Amino acid sequence: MPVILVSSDAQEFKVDKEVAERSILIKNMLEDVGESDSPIPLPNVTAAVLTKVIEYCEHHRNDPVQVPDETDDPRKRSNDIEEWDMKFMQVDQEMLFEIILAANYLDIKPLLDVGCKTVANIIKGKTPEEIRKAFNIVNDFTPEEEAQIKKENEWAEDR
Amino acid sequence: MLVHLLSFLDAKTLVNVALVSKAWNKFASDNAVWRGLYFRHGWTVNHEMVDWYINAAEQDEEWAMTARDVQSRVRFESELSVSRGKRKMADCDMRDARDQDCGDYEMLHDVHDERSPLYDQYQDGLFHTHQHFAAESSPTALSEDVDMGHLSADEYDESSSPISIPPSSPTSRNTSASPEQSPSFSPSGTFPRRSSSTPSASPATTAFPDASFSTDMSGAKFDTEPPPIPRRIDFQAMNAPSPSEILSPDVLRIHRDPATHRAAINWKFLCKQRRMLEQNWNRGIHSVKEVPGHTEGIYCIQFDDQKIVSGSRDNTIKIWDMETGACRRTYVGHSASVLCLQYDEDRIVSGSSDATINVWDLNTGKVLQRLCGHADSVLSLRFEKDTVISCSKDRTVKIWKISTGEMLKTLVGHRAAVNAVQFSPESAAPSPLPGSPRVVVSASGDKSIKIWSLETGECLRTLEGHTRGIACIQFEGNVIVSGSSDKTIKIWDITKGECVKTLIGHEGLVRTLQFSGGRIISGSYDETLKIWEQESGRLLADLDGRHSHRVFKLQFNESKIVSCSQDQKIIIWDFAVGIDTTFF
Repeated sequence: MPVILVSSDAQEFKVDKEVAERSILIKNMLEDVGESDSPIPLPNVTAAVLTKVIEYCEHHRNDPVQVPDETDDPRKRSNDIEEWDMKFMQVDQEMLFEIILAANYLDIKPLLDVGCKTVANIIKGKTPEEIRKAFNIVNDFTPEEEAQIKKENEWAEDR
Repeated sequence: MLVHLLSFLDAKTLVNVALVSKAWNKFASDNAVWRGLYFRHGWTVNHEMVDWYINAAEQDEEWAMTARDVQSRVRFESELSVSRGKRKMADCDMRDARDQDCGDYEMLHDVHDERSPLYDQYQDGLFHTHQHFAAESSPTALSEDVDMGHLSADEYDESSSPISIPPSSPTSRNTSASPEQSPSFSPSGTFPRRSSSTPSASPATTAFPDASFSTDMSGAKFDTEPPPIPRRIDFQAMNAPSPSEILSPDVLRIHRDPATHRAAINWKFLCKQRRMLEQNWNRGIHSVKEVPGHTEGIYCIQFDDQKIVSGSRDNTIKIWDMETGACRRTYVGHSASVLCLQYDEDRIVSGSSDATINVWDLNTGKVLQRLCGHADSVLSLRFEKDTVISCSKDRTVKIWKISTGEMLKTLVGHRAAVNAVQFSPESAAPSPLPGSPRVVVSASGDKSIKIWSLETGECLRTLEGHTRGIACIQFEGNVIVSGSSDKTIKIWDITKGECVKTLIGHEGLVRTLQFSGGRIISGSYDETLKIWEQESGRLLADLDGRHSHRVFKLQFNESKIVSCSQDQKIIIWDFAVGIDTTFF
């Protein structure tokens, strides 16, 4: 039975229950409500973003459910993104963050991970100034504060 | 959520993130991020101790007091000396023995690197208290090189001045000519937990009366109850110590949530300690302690955090307190040199030039079993549970059952003395050979390595490549590393049955080696130890000028190497210089 999702800008999306349930938030809602065909409002997600999220869930509809992993999972690395996901994540930065926020809100852990890994890969290897530029951030440190932090963290530099 | 994102980054990127802006800095300092990073590195912690710390700290009033800020430092100082009086972090069981025990390490502190850039970094820290930690931890020999910040040297007087100890009491009668009476002693450069060797007792304390136990002990007769052999602290025990009893105030201050002031592991701090420890290994930065071992050359040693067990040409086995260097036991039972040994929780198994193998009660020295059957010196052995595997100058490898003393099997095939042997432990992953049998690997003076089936005794494979006899081997999974009289070390692929790398650098027979965690460490008749990077075969560090004769045996763990030599000394090479290993 299909489920109807409603984006913040009032667009309706008809998706298979199995697809919608990749979102733990929606899965829990459906379980709480029981059998019902009333549309599910998602006030935090725009139609543009929801389209992307549904695309992701369609593609991964048959994936095994991810067991909640510990933060100390030794396999947790940013360089193991599968090819389809990599292509899927080739969007502008604003959309990338929107997807991450939506994945977080909808509780879709694998999508959140892929999004975070993608951003992590953007950050990796960049100097602080390059990171600021990439994300349009203003440096609010005084030179003294900056020097202090550098000194504290010297140990992490290359051996 | 940003924290989640940052958990995918490495340390180097994280510190760049910390410099981006104040908001990003806050996320990059998140303890969860660093915890994730720590475990992703494959670094380990002593979970038992971490749990104990978190739980026990809550009930520890003294711990709560150290929560006050730096302004109450004066207070801490007095507490510090008091708690030092309790000889921090030593085994609780040993408290009684401790007061008489001032150790007999020789003068021994030196650090190879003139001035490591790392020491500057100790001045910085996560919390403002860091400097104290740094200063206290600075190795003695280096302390004048280290900018101590606002601390006066006096504050840490105890840790920076060698304490002189009067010549040993008359108890060391049978070793009167030995260096065991070394009159001076210097605390190690590591942190309080492992190094609290600073004796609280006044310098006038007499030497530890271990010599009363260094007479013949085969019958384990004591005039008085002997002090217990040091053991690990049981953190789950009812009488487990409280954190403030055994940890320095600095450790207590660092592992505390800055916001809530509750006990919490500071993961960024641990990451930093691990990283610096790795750097010390890679740069060869270490401090040295010498245990003036036996009255003859020392052929074999094994150690753990609490003790060292050694076997010597003087026919004895001795047990040393790792913390103080004091000799705790001397066991006599072989009628010739003790060439090899291994111990577990309760037993020591030793092989001798008298062609026998003894199984000893670790604690009393009682000989529980004697395995007789080799026709010549027992050169190497390993045991697990009820099984001993030994090899001998008589060219054979033998498999024994301890409980009955039976010889189960003799592996014949080598054409010269078999110098080294190892077998797959019960828990080992299946061997890479067809049918994945548990295997015995042996190395011989006949230049070959043989792999045997433990079950059938059949020789499965012979590896050849060294141009002279092989003195030592270790295997793990698909890898064998061997050291030879041809002065090289070879790395072998068991599946391929061939040598994949040859490490050249030693100028004498390579007598002993171990590999673990990406490092190979070897000891040679050229009187040096060398640290190699296993992957590349690159020589990382050369530890020379310390042993004055052939190196016979070494073992290393994540922070130190212990080696022994024909020069009658046991040397502890400690790479945790200026590093807090409390929770490792």
